[in-house]
Amino acid sequence: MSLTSCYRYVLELPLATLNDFLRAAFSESDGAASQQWSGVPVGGHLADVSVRPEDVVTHPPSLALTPVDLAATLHLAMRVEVEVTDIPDLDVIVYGITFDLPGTFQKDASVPPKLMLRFPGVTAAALNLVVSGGAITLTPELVEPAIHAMYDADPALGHTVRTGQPWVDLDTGSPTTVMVTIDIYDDEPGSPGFRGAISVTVDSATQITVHMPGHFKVQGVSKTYMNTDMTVDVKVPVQQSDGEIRVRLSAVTASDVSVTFATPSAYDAAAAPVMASEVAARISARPDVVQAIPTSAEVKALIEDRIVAMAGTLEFPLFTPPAPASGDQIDLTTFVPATVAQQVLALQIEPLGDTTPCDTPDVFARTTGFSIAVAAVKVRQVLDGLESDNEGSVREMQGHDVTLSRLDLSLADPGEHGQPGGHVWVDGTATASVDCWADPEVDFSGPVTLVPALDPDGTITVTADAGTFTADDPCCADVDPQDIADVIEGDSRAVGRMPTDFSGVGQLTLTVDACDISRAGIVIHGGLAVVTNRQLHAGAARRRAYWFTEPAAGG
Amino acid sequence: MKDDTGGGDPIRVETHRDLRRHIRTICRRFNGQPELARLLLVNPLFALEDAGVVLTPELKAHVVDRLRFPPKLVERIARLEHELRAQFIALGIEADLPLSAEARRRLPREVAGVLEEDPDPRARRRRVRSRVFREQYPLAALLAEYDRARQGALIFHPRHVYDAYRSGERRHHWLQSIRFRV
Repeated sequence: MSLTSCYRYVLELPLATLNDFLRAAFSESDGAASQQWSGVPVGGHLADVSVRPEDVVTHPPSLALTPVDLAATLHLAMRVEVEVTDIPDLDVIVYGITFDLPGTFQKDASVPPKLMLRFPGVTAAALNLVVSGGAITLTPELVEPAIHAMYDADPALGHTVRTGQPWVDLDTGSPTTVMVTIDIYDDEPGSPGFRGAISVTVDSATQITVHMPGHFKVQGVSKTYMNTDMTVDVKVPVQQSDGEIRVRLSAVTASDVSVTFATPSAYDAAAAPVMASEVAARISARPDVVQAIPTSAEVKALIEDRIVAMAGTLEFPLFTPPAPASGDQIDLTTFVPATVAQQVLALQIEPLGDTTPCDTPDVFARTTGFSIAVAAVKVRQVLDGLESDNEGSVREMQGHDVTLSRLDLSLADPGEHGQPGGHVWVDGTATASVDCWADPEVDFSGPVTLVPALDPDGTITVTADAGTFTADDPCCADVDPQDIADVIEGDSRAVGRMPTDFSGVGQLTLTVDACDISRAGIVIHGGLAVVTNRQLHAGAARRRAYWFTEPAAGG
Repeated sequence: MKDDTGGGDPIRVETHRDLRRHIRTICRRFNGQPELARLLLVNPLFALEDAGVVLTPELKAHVVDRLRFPPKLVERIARLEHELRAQFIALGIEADLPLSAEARRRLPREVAGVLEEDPDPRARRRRVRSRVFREQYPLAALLAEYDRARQGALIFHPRHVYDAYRSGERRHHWLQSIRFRV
C-alpha cells in the first residue's frame, strides 16, 4: 500500500460520509426509489404492490463496504403496500421491510463519467429480508357483505312468528299465552318503504358489533302487550390468523346480544332475554364468515420477487465530477475508484504516468468528512517553487539587508529530526550585510508544518507554520528566527484546485482543517456538510457544490 | 571554552581603525570556533571577549550602536512613530512615544483586548506577527512592530543568559552555524 499509489491525488470518503450522501439522496427524491406493480399474483389472489423507502430520519439507509474491492451492501428499510384487488373491501395491507442489497461501485461510460452504485445479480437469498407489520385492518366494509349474505340466506332471521308463547299479563298477574312476531330489517338503502338495514361497527381487531334494526310485537287473545321498533346489537368475536380473517358467528351466545326497544314498557325486562336467545340461536347456527387473505409466506415471496426485480434497475450516482473548467483544476473525471479495508472509498485521480508502481492506497481518511492526499511528486513541485522564489531574494531584517542564498525544503516522516509529527524540513543559508564588519552567513534549519485553506474558487492552499523556528528564549529576538520564519510563512502555495461547479440534487460545503505531512506526500483533511437542494431553497445558499447524487431508481 | 582568548593572543582594539585592521583575524577566530560564533547572536560583546578581543568602552558603545540600530532600522522606527502618532490622533488615544511602561501594558489591551491575556508569550508573539492578526488589529500589530524595533536588531542579552547559551543549557533550535566571509 502507499499514500497515493500511482496517482497525483487520492480523494478518500469514509463510510460515514458515503452514508451521509446516501441519506441526502433518499431525502432529496422521495419517489425515485419507489416502484409499483399491478396484477401481481399472491396466494391465489391478485394484488397491486407498491414499495417506497421509509423516512430517512427514522429508518436511515446504510451502506457497508465488504471485503471485495468495490463491493458494498446497502441496507434499506422500505414500506410495502399490498392491495389485494380481488378482495375489494380489504384495506391495503402495509408491511415494513428491511433488506440488504449487495452492490458494486462502477464507473459508468458517460462523459464526464460518474461513479454509480449498482446492484447486479441480486438473489432472494442474499436479501436477508425481514418483514414486519402486515396487520389486516378490520373494517365494516370487509365484514358487512358476509352479514348481509347471512341475512339473505336465512329468511327466518328476517321474520319469525312464535305462537303459544307463555306470557304473564302484568295488569292482572295472570299467566297467558301470546303470539310473538320478530322482524329484522335489512332493506336496500333508498328502496321504497325502507325500514332499516343491518350495519357493522368494528370494536377492535378481535370484535365487531352487528347492529340489526327491527320490530317486536307481542299479542294476546284480546290484548297487544308490546308493539315497538327495536335495535338488536350482537357482539361477534373475530379471529385473525395467517391467511384468514374469521368472523366467529358460531361463538355468539345470548349474552352477546343486547336489545333496545324504541318504546319502553313494563314488559321490556321479560321480552329482552327472549329476544336475545332467539337472535343468538339464529346467528350461531350460521357458519363462520371466513375471509381468505395472503399468508405472510406468500407476501414475503412476493416482496422478494419484487426487490430482486427492482434491484436490477436500481442505481445511485455517488460521484459526479464535472470536466475541469480550466487547466489548473484537479481533473476529478480521471478518477479510478477503489474501496480499502472496508473503511473508505478511494478515488484515485490523475495518473502520474511515470514509473511509480500502482498499488492500493493507504487508508488516510478520518472517520468523517473527506481527505485528499497529494503525492510527494506534486508537493515537490510546490516546494521547488517556494525554494526558487526565495533563493537569492534580499530582505530587510531589522535594519540589515539579508540575502537568502539557499533554501532547501524536504518532506519528512514523523520521528525524523526529533519531531513527533511529519513536517517539512527547512534547511538554508542567509547572508546578512553588517556595517563595519564581515558579512556573516547564517545556516539555519528547522521543522515547518502546513496549515491548509480552501479558497472560494476551490483552490486548496497550504501555508507554512514555522512555529518551532525559535530560540529557547521566547521573549526576545537576537537575529530574530521569526524573521526567517516569516520568509517561509510569507506566502501560501496552491497544491490543487477542486472544481466547484458540481451539479446534482445535493451540494456539499467543504472545509479544511488539518494537514498531515510525510515523505509520501501530504494529506489535507476536511469536513463537509451535505445540503440538499430542498434545504438550499429553504435557507441560505451555500457556495461549494462538490458532487452529487440522484437516485435514479428504476421503474 | 576554557581559553578566554579564543585560542589566540588577546587582540586589543582601541580605535575604529584597529577594529578594521583586526576584522579578518577576529572573524577567523569565530570561524574556527562555531560554538563561540553562535554566541554572537546572544551577546556580541561577550562573544568578542571570549574570542580574546579586548575593546575599549568607546568601541563597545560603537559596536552596540551599529549592531543594534543600523541606519535602516532607525529610519523604520521613525516611520513607525510617525504612523503611530497619526493613528493615536485619529483614534483619540493619549500616549507619547516612546511608550511608557504603563502605556505598553495598557494600549495593546485597549486596541486588541485579548493580546495580553495569552499566557504563552511565544504563542502571543507568533499571533501578533500573523497576517490574520495584522489585518484584524492593525494598530496593535503596528505597536508590536514598533516595540520590537525599539529593542534593536540585536539584543544584547545579560551575562546569565549568555552563560546559559554558552553552557548549552539554552540553545537556538534553528541556528546551525555562523560563518564570516574573510
